[in-house]
Amino acid sequence: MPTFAPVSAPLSAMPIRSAVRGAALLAACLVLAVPARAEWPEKPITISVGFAAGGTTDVAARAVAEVVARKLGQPVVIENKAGAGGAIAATGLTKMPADGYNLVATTSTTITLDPQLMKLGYAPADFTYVAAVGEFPEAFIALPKHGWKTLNDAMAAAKATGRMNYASNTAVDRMISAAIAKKAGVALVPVPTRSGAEVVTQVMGGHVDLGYSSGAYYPQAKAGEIAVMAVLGDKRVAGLPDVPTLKELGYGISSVNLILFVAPKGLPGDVARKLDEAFAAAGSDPSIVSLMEKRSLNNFVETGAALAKTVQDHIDGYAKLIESSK
Amino acid sequence: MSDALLGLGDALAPLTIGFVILGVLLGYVIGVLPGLNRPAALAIAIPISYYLTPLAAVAFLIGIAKASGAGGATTAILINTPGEPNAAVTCLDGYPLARAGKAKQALKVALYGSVIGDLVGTFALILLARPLATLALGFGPVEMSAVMVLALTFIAALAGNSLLRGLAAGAFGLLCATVGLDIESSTPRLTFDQVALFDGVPLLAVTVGMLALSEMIIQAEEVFSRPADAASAVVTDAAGDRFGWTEFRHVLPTFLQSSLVGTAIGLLPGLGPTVASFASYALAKRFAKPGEQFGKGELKGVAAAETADNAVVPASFIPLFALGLPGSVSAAILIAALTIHGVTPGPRLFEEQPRLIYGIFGAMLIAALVMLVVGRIGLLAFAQLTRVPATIIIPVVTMLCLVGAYLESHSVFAVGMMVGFGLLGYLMHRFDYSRVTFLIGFVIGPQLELSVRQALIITEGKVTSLAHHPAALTVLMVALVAAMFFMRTPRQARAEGEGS
Repeated sequence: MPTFAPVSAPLSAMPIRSAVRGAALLAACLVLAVPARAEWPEKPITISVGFAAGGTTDVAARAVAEVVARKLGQPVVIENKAGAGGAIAATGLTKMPADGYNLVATTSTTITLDPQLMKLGYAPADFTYVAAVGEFPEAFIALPKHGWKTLNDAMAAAKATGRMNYASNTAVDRMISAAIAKKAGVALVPVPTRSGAEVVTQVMGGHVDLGYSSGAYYPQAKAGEIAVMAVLGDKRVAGLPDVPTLKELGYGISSVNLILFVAPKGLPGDVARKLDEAFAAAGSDPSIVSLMEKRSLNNFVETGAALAKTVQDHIDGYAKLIESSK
Repeated sequence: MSDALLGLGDALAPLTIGFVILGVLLGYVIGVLPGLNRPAALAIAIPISYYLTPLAAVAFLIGIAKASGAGGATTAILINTPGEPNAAVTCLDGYPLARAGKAKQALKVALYGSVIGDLVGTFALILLARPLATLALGFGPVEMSAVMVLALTFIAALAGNSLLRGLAAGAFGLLCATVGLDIESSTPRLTFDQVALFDGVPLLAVTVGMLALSEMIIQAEEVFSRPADAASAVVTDAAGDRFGWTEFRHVLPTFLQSSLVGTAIGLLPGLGPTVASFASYALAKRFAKPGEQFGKGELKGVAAAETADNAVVPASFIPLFALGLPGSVSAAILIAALTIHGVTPGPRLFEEQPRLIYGIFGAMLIAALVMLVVGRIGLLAFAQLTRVPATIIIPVVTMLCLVGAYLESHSVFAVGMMVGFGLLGYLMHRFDYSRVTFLIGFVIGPQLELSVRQALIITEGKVTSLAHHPAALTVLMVALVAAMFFMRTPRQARAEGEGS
């Protein structure tokens, strides 16, 4: 169901009627302004979100879209094309023209990792990397009653039986856990689950020893009902300053998952530049900064060439991880 | 206490009530229309709710979630075409009642059942959230596996004329449920390199195709084979078409029993309203008194299905409000609506935002009331549907099916799947393979597989570890007894009521 992010209205509770009126007025102005100069963008931009409405990626994409729409002076339409971990939206994008009117918002692992693991209709070279806004606070979690402070304590406890299970949710966590297990000299057995919320439920119910969660654990961790053993990224998570990264704990690995905006490959230079500017401005917009804080996302904003390099680094990192976890 | 009063006051604010009414109306319409269902309605509603206050947003979404369940019974009863998958069981007795000219009676039972189930679930949420949620947390993979095995026995209870064909259809449903990425290894299974099948066969394509489109093919065939008397087949306004105190006393035990079944099932994540209505119907049928003919137009059948599925929605919010964990799709969407406004549902939500919570509770109670009023008015209008000739209903419903399948994923692939399952459903009907048992297999398949595989890993494959799970053991015993009971029950002729 396509929906328009009004060009001007702030995210807060602006009365609907005035928002509609404002949007209508703006639309009228745009209609008048457009024929004069045929310069990109001259029509609404569509962002297909690779996940269902209401998820973190969707919420972030909608908020970013609003600021981008304001900067570019054209409405940005959000469409949810959920499925296969973002692969459906990504595949769809490869068949679209590289004119800057079609973008996809998805998690970075949809592109940096998934094509390395299975046969999909796209490769990382099929895209122009527009922007990354926000990093997921991926972590390993456990019940506080075990008394483990970090993942090292948990691994020491696992030594007793040689085996420990954890609620797993993605291919990333299975590779990471395999690498950790190898280093710690224990078996870490993944218990598959269907959602991040289920991971937290299984951990809180005491049915599994550990859990991997990309962010659903955060409110429980803040309330002290969940203990965070380690975060997976290169840096600590802003809201959890006491939790070490896997690298700090000596495992020598990391995993970074970003909210990524991509266009088809071969995007014209001037269009790419305008998009970069608009997304960079969105990334530093107070509404986006506060949203990242609320959603416990790390404040990570990158665009253009710098982002393309980051993506390539992630791809190489995962390739190594796949090799080492074999 | 003052927070409770303030919260209830917020719920009574005109804006909140307005959005409850709007949500209920939208939900009801979506529920009534076959092809469009709850996920589609919520997909439309979430972006709108971003621009509302937290309470209005939640009130709006709750109105939709609740009313779409209640509305789904309407077309199930009137034209044997469930508006929502969970209304599939409502057809079994609802449609025979409508054919016998008791459409209004059936619609009223469905409506009152929906409201009663909803209220019981809501009160369980308000009064017992914390203890019930703790209880639900104790249900791990081993216990859930046992529950899913129990759910499998419903196939035997609802198998229709032939147990063997019913089981075959159920097994086929389970097979269809295995399509998609393997949950442990992410290996594609039966996907034929179609990325669109990675998440499994789309639920909406299956349910809409199997239940709504195939029914339209069946009815079209009827119209073509005997065009003259197709219209006169339905008796309207029979003498016994009323719902008074006698009828209410007759179905009251079913209302209460099904409310409890629905609440219990709603509490456990992963089961949902469809399983609840199957379970409740199977139970009611099993304990039928002499003279009650389930499958031939028994009011209790309609009551069982509709009461249970409506108790599920509020009950599935229990883990959300008590622990901050979403137990259902609707609950996950409420989390989204709350977080967008800076409210993080979590274990401390009650301490941090008591006023908002009581406001939500108030809005839920108001939604039940609005549902009653809207349903009662809508009923009079919808009952006229039986007078609409099939030559108009069939093309309209067929179009809705096509639109609904497209709306869910914006893909023609899903539409093709829906049409395919429609044809398959028609063939199954022709050869007397139950579409209902197929649906049970398909709906419980993914959770059954997940729970069993989780349980095998956690227990390291040792059967003896069942001894540490007394609850699971008990449920398994019940399943065994139930299976024996269900298979021994003589199935009534045409028990399935797949209208012919």
